Amino acid sequence: MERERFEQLLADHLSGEISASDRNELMRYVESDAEAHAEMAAYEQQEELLTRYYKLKAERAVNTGPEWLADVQPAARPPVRPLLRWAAVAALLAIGALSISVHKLYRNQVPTGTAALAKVAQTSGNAFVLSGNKAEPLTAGTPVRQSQKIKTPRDGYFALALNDGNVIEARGGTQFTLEDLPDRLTVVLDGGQVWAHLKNKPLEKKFVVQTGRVRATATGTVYGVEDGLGGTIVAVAEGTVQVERDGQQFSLSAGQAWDSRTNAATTLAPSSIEWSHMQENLASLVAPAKPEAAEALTTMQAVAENTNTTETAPAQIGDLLDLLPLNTTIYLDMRDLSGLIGQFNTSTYAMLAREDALKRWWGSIHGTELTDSITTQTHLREIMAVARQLNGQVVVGVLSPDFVLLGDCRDRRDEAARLLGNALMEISGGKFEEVQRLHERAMVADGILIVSSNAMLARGVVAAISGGAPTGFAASDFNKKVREAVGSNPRLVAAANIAPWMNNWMRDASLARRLDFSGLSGLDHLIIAPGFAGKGMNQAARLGFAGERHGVVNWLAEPAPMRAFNFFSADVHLFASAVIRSPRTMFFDWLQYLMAEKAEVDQAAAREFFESHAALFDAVGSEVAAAIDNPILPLPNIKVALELARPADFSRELDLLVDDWIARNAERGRLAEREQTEYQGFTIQTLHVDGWYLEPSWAVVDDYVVAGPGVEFVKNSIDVWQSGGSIGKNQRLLNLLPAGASNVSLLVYQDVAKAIPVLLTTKLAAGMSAEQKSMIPDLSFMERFRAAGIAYATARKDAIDFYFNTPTGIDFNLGMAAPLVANWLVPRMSVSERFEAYAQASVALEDFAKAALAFQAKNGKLPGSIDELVSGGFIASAPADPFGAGGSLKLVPGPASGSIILYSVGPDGVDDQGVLVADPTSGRSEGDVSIVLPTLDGGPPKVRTEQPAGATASTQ
Amino acid sequence: MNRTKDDLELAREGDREAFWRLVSPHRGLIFATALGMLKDPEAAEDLLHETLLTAARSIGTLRDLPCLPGWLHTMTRNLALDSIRRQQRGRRAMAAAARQTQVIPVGEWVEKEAWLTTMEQAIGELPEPFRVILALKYINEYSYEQISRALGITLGAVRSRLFEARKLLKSKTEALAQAREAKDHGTRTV
Repeated sequence: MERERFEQLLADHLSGEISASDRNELMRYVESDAEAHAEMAAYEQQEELLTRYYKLKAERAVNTGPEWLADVQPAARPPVRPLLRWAAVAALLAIGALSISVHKLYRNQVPTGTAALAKVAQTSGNAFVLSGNKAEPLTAGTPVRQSQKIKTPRDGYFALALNDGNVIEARGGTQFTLEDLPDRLTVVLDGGQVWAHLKNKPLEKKFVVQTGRVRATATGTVYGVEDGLGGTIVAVAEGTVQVERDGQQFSLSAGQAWDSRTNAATTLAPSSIEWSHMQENLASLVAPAKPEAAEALTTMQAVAENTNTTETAPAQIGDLLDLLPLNTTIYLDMRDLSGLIGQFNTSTYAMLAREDALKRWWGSIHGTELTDSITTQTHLREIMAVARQLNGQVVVGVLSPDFVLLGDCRDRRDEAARLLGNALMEISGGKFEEVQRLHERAMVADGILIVSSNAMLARGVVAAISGGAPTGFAASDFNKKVREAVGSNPRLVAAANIAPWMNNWMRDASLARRLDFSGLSGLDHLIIAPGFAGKGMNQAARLGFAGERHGVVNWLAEPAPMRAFNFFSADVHLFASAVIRSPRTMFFDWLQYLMAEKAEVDQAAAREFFESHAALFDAVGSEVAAAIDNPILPLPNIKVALELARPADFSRELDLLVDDWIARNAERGRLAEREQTEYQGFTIQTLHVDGWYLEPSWAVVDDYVVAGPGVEFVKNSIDVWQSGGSIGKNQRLLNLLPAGASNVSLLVYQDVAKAIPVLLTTKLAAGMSAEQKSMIPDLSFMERFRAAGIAYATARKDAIDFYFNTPTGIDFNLGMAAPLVANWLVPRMSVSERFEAYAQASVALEDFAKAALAFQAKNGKLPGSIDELVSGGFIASAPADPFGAGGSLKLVPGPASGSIILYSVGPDGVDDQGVLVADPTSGRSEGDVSIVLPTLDGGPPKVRTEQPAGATASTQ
Repeated sequence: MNRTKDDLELAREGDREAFWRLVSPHRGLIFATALGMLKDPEAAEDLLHETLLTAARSIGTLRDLPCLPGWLHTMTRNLALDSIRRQQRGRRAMAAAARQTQVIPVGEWVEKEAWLTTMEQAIGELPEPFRVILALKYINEYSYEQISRALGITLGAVRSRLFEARKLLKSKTEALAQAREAKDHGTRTV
């Protein structure tokens, strides 16, 4: 018996998974071989010890009971990703407003009982009653009891029939409580509008509508009260109403309305009463016979809709930045929110979102349901309703980990407050305590929306507003730097004060070393804004440093004319060029950093190497450029151009370096050689290295060395340079570059999006199934949105300014993403295809094996060829091999006498006689897919697989 | 089928007994994985508890019941790796002191059988995949098929990995036994 077979049988024997026949075979063998017998005995003894050992170890642990799980509760399954949930809460807080209740001051009287005070007579929308922490829907007939809080959503309505037969109506967005007191029945109005129809029967008690400021008392009349943060309005349609405010009392009669802000009664104008479901009743009241009543109602509505036109916030708060805490490290300042939203709505991003083809595709993959679900779960509609009330400056400040948002809604303060109340109620699921908790961090104060992650911060802002004491952030050193860059009144600015963070990070010695080398340790601030871009560019950013730049960020030199354009063809997908300071210093800095923690002897060797080739670095100039053509091709089509200060010296030194390298490799047994090719009067050098996929090639042309991954790439660069048709002549790029802007420190140009149709129609679609193809959106419309984009930078001693120009908005971003997505997708699609073929081969082989076993059952031996199976009628013809390019599965004799191997040639198409086993998960293509008969354990035939090294457990 | 599906739903809703019915059969898997990675039975027991607590809290994220063994195995691995990282951080600082203060109680030493010491040391020296598969086999008495499902590897790989583990263990225990004999012999003759 061969060693391998013995070990297989022994393994199964020790594991208790050996078949009877195999056991007999093993026993016969060990009886005949003393050495094998001893070995098996040793393993069996070990087996016993192993069992005892693990039993000892596991005894206690696995007998643990569930008692200690008593207090553990599972977290709810997240319906949306945590990030979305966080974003939703943040957005809610960020846009919210206040206003659930300002009435606590009048909650000091004892109610008289818990019997039903009224029943719901009519309702629409989702009116509900808050009972404890739960919200229960109101339907017709629902009793309303003492102290229950009743609320209507914005579009809702309901009417309550009081026990005495009178009626109270509530408009949408209203919240109130009924309180039955010994001497009066009171509607405690938290906000919104109610109408009392008190003339059906004589009242047993006085009827009062009370707001935080005003008490309106009536008997036998019809009147309405509207309450909001802006003030209270009382309008009387019939009878008289006593109004009490701050100890003052006065009487209103039919046709009059009173406004708490002006403290004056006005005459009403006729109008319809659109909100009331009791319109007919009220219409009769406002008929021509009583024009004054209609006038009262109209005025009431008109005043309600324009509540704050006469009030303004304290004059001291001119700039909301002055309400941010002084230690704010990041802020976003938007001075024209509605303008910015309008600009976005007309941008190509918004146009793209409206594209029919994209919508169809989104619908086809059930994206609409996802969007709706997210909108509902994040309460986006309610949040956006509040956001639409912000029509002035909006500021967000971050004091990690907290933030505070301030929004100017002075023109629409009441509506904003009311809508925020709705939003808070919706997001808290009707839990009143939760609303109140949120309310501490989301409110409207003097027409300024305040939202914060921290109640203390929110209170600080309120104190600053009410005390007229700005924090002075607008005049802070940090903000001054920002204003110097972007001007005094920018539309949009994001800024970060990085110095405090950097001071913290620099306390970590190992991090400090890296930050120092990179030069980021000197980073002081970051500003992103369109305002200071200029030169026709539409976005800009500044990295500001404290003092002069150093380290890697100092490698970027001040602006200089770029000429490397000339070596790259006009249709490149991506081009980048930079002006570097001193190549020698740069290389030396890098080497020092790498070797800093190495042994002294290694450092000395590195220095010696550097010094011996210092002449090479000295010969290099200051411009370095690279370009990529068609980034989705398997071969990286990258070309590089490096400016040379002394071309002849560079050629000589590089030749020496390469020859030295070749000699060192030869000593280690790796073959490498340098080849010269003459082309158009230039010498192209190519390095051939045994085992290398690419062949680095380069040539000195003019004052540059141009290089690529093969000789053809260098030839192409020479052709472009000689023809003059380079990217420097590309009108698309020139249109984007402002005059004189080629005099910069860094330039990036891209037109990558043009690769997308190619990618879809050739690279990806070719290997896809029909189903996979059907999932690809029709992106032909992309052509209309496609455009090139550029970015450039100018470096100064203490700052680097970046400028971006994206004429149609999407391309710069999308174009950058496309090759990444493509490269991510392509190998996965290939793997998927291979798996599919592998699965097909496995199924075909199993059928094949069944036929062979049927043959064995009939003939007492396995078939010797496929022909025997066909002629015996076990299969109709030789089964096709999914990997075999038209060929069939194969049958060959197996390793043991009488055994056979059935196999497919596998993904590589190479016939390995079924011996080398393919592994579909390894990413490699070599090996066959095979089945050996008879099977080792006598069980059903199984496709052999090879387990890849490092395989890990599957996860859900 | 219905019962187990119900248990998952109940567990998601916070039913402790239902959760226990689900995970109880897999305690051995968790312990074996933990022991394989941490080597220390007490630490493995702690990790078993930690894993079950974590699983109880996050049972809502479990998609489907067939995923449960793999889910628990992965969770155990991740928690074990965290534990190892924590230990390593502390260990660096404490290494010198530990060497000075490591004392084995005499009584325990005497009582401990030689084979157990040898086995413990030899298993501790095995690569992690071997320790895990041995623990699965001998603690849980898992079949090839069950190990294959728990670890997500093929049956062939289970068979060969198990046998390789036994082989390596055998050579290590033999080497340790020889070393001990040599040491004992040296002690006597000096």
